[in-house]
Amino acid sequence: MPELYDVALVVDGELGRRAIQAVDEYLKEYGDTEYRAERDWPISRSQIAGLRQIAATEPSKVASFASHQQKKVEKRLEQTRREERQRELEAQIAFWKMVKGLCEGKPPRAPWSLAQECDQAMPPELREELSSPDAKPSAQERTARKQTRRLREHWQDAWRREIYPAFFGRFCVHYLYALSKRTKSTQDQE
Amino acid sequence: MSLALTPDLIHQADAFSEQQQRSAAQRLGRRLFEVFQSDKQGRVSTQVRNLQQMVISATRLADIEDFVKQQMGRGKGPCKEWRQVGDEVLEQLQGLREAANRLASHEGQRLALRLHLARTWIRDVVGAYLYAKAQKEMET
Repeated sequence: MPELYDVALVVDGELGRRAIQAVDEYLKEYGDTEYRAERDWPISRSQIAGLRQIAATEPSKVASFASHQQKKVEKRLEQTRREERQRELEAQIAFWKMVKGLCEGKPPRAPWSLAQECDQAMPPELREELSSPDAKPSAQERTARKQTRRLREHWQDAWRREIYPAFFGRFCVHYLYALSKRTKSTQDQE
Repeated sequence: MSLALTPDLIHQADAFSEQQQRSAAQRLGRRLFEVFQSDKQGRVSTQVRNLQQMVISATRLADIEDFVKQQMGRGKGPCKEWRQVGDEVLEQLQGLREAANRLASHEGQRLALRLHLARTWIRDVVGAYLYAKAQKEMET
């Protein structure tokens, strides 16, 4: 198994910064400057807890979870006539799209994503070799490629298990922190 | 990979803590006492002990920042108190992050230096908290 790069180093640096930046950019576009109560937040505390838990226990499923959430809200949006509610639902859709993009976004649309970060961190010997469509690999080559693919998937799984909980942990904590600061009723509880 | 700190880097970090950070850390320690006071039995506040423990055991500065944000972002518990003092804690941690970036050029050393600075910082913070607590106890 190839050695994973130092998790503490990346999470304390670039990756952690990306997690915070994603939340801040989202709130800049879809957040209100002030909320009357937590129930007005675009994404509820329990949904954030759900996201965090999936990132910790089933990191490979975060993107499909976000996609599923997005579709559910899109269905609701189709049936909604009230403009204010439509805006709320659009903010929710944007959130889940963002989460999916953070997981598997590809350039040029997404200049950065965890999938791209994973590819970059991958040891060169595990990277996929592009072969011409006309090339006919020998049986030995096919076996070697199969073996490399298995190792690559194993490495990607291990990478996600290390990085996703840390990345989405930071992302979720920052979201709750930023929204709590903007929420009147939690301040009133004080 | 995280790199070991050189004696020179440690010396520069300690000079930074003493000359540029200590008075802010002590002010924060006094502020923590104003906000959290002592617990009901007159012992060090659980929140201050938790912060200290977090700084001592953290493997990255981000964990300490996340701990403070988590306390501030809770819907219940001591979030009220944390919201009074948390942003100042986060600002000082950011100051440590920036100092580590200035002092070291290798990312691995920066990571280790941030933790070194944070541990010196929490000693000053808790020291000032305890001093404020002792003063209050002598008054009563």
